[in-house]
Amino acid sequence: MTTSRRDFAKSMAVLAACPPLVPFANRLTSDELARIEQSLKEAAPMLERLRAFPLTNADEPDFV
Amino acid sequence: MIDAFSTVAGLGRALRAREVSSTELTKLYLDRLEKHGPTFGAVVTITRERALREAAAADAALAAGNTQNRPLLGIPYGVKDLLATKDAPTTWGAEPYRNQQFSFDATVVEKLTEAGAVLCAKLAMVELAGAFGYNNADASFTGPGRSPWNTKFWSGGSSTGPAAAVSAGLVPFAIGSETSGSILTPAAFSGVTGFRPTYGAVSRHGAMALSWTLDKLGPMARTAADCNTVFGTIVERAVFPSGRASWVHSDVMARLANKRLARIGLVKGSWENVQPAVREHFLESVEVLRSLGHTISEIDYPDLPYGPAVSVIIDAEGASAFEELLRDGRAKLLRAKADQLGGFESAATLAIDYLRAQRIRAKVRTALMELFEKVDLLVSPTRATVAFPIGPNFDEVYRDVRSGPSVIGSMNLIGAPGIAMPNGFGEHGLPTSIQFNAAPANDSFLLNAAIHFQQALNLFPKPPV
Repeated sequence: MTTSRRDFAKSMAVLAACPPLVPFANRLTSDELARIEQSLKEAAPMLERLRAFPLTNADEPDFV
Repeated sequence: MIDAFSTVAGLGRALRAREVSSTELTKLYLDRLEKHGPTFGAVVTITRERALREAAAADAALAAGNTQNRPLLGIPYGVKDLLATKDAPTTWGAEPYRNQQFSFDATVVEKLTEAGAVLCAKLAMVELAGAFGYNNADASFTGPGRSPWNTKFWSGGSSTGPAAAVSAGLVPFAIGSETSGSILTPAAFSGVTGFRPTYGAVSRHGAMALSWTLDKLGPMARTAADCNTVFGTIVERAVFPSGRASWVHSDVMARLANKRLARIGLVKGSWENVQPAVREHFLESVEVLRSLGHTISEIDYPDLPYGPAVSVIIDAEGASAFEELLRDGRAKLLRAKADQLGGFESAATLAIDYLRAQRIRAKVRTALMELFEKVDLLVSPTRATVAFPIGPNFDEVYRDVRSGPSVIGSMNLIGAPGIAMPNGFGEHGLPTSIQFNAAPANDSFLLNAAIHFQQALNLFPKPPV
């Protein structure tokens, strides 16, 4: 079965509404996972400053 | 009698004048590493056998008069333990890698070996060079690095061992690494000179990767002149002819070639709200620069999200570089509490945020290269405070101090060269420091300016070790 781009976008939207996805969570206890999720929430203002910076479609990344 | 705090240049003169042999010199530093290394948490492995073998070879070359263009011939040194060497473990400062062994030498080590330098020690470092967000000095499987000026305080990170070892006269120079501050900060906290070359100027082959787009290797020594000598040996001339990388603004390079006096920009906001001694010594240093004939002005630093961009890049690249530790759970073997879970948090970085940070990086480069059209050097305190105490978390101390614009973060984003030099002493008898930064590829210009400044300031501190 193939997944359409629209279905993929929907699943991404669902994920965005959920708690942050922490990779390798199978290595973590529930307490550790909760601490990481809390820490990610605390980091949100830093990310917001990054996300608020205006960029246009023409702005390419500069890796080095 | 050789002074263990001699400069590389002074030791080289003594060796060539046959006042001392490389073997004698090497034994002096090996003994100091063994005696004092543990006090400062500076050493992982002493490479005694290799060192004595290399010293004997250097003595043979000295006896044969084979010394031309070999300023490091017979000079002992140490490397941060993220550089691969074939004769000793390469631990990356981290418990999961404490028995890691490579079968080759990193390119930087190869170059130093070829130059006749003598590898005496693999030096301590913050685990994984701080990849997972440590927030405490006790963040290495060897314990915290301690300042030779006051062992209740940190030697700075992540090049903790290179800084402490050079400061304490355990080696004349060392190789450190910087992703965002890991050479300049320990140089500042330990009272030594640390030089961060332009990104790409020094090969990273055989060096632990933390962030492929930010990592740099560079020398730490007692003087800018010694850093210049070491840099001249380890720089990749093939891809960096006469100090220029291909992506660098060539017009800036041309203008600065052979230039002796600089237009210096003091970064507004970087010294006003720092610790009093940091401010006082910074302003004294500015007067020294003025007395040398440089043109001094105050400049407004572009207000861009340097800190968030650097953090997101390190988070994403660091989580990828050490994915194996996260996948198999060994990250939880790391020493610092913040590091045990920090990698998992980093791995949650979204691709869109990482790419946004790299796109902002292009804006940062444009803005700062425009600044470098107006000034040749950016000057500011290296750190707003003296070294952090060992014990409390970093964010729990010096809370009333504001460091202003993130000069270190922004300069790392654009791959610019920078140098930190001691310029006085502050609280708890700990060193203060000043940093110079130049546009990418102007390493030689920057080093020359630093050498002249340091000679005029005439401050080459030696702790009582």
